Amino acid sequence: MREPTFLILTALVGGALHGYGIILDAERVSEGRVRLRPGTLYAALDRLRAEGLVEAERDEVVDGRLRRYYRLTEEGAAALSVEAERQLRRARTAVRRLAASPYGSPA
Amino acid sequence: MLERRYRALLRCYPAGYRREYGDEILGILLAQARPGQRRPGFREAADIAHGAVTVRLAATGRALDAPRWRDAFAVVSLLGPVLMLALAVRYAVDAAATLPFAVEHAGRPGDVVTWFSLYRSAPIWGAWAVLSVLALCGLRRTAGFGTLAVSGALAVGLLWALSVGPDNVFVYSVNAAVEGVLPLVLAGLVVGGALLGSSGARRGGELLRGVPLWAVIIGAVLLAVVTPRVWAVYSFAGWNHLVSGLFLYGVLLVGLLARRPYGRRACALLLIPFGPLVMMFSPASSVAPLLRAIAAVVAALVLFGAVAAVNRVAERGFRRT
Repeated sequence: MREPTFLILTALVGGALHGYGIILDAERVSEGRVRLRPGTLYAALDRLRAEGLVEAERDEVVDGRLRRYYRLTEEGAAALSVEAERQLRRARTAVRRLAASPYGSPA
Repeated sequence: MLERRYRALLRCYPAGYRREYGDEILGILLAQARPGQRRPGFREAADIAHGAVTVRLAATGRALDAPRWRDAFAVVSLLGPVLMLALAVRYAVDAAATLPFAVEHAGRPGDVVTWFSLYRSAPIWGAWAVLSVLALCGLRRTAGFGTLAVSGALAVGLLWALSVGPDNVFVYSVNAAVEGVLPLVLAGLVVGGALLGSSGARRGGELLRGVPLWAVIIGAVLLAVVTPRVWAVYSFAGWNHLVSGLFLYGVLLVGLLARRPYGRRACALLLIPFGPLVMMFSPASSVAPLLRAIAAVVAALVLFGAVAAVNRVAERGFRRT
């Protein structure tokens, strides 16, 4: 799973968000390192909807423009859980090896 | 003003995608705009362009996975190898006819005619013939990957030859390369892609059950007979042959296949190798003005049709309920 996809799914764990809300949350979770751009975000959202990992929850009209809220599906939550576990195992391995090495434990 | 420019930028996307997400993307772009910003920034434009390409490719992939396209690929995976085999036979006949000439000259010290200069394209045609037979015998994947590999090797050879310069052993000029090699590269890509993207020649045969076999054979022979030299890997002009050959080929293809939806798609795929017709605009070309004008119109129509078809395929591939 690529990082933007991981961040989008993570953003939606806390509840339905609109596109701009996802961008702000992804920036917060990545500690300012990743700022999703709208072209990238909606290409990913479209793919995730087609795969059934994300679905549209409701629409509202703001300043005459449509704003749609997206939420995680059960399949999306399961896929995120698998990926998060995988990343966790890898990170734990790295931390364990570093602690046992001359480089010492990470900060 | 800024909103209007953002809207113009969003036209990179398929219309269906714009209807679905256009308002939301626009809202975010405007929310992120700097105070006083009058036009989209470079990064915004690059992001939208990248997103549009991604969406169009994904939509095209979905659309090409539809039964009509898969059937069109199956038809191409039958007709493509038949046509390539006919052209390989044509090459073999040409090669046999020049054998006495080769025997007389090639061994002579100092003669510019060598075995290599006469028969350098033989390995390519040999490979096409073998791969075509494999495809027609049902070895779809082997033939598909082999055809793509031969195409790739030809493309690399073409790029190398063009970088080395016009006077080399592979091609005599840029025009000759484009006339002779590029259609072969494209034909290989189309046939290889069709073999890998369909159920293969047997399915193509089922689909063409209503089409008389003799018409297919006559078409292949016709194509091979009226396009001498042009389809040799190296090539001298031969434009008049090319134009008349392509005209007959196109008429025959459309006449045989156009009544069915997958047949029309197969026609379009089988005409792709002739995209390099646009090179007929070249002032170095020795073609008669009327033929060049006809070719220019045909080339423009083919290009316009290709762009329209890609757009339509992408629109169809974007399905959202």
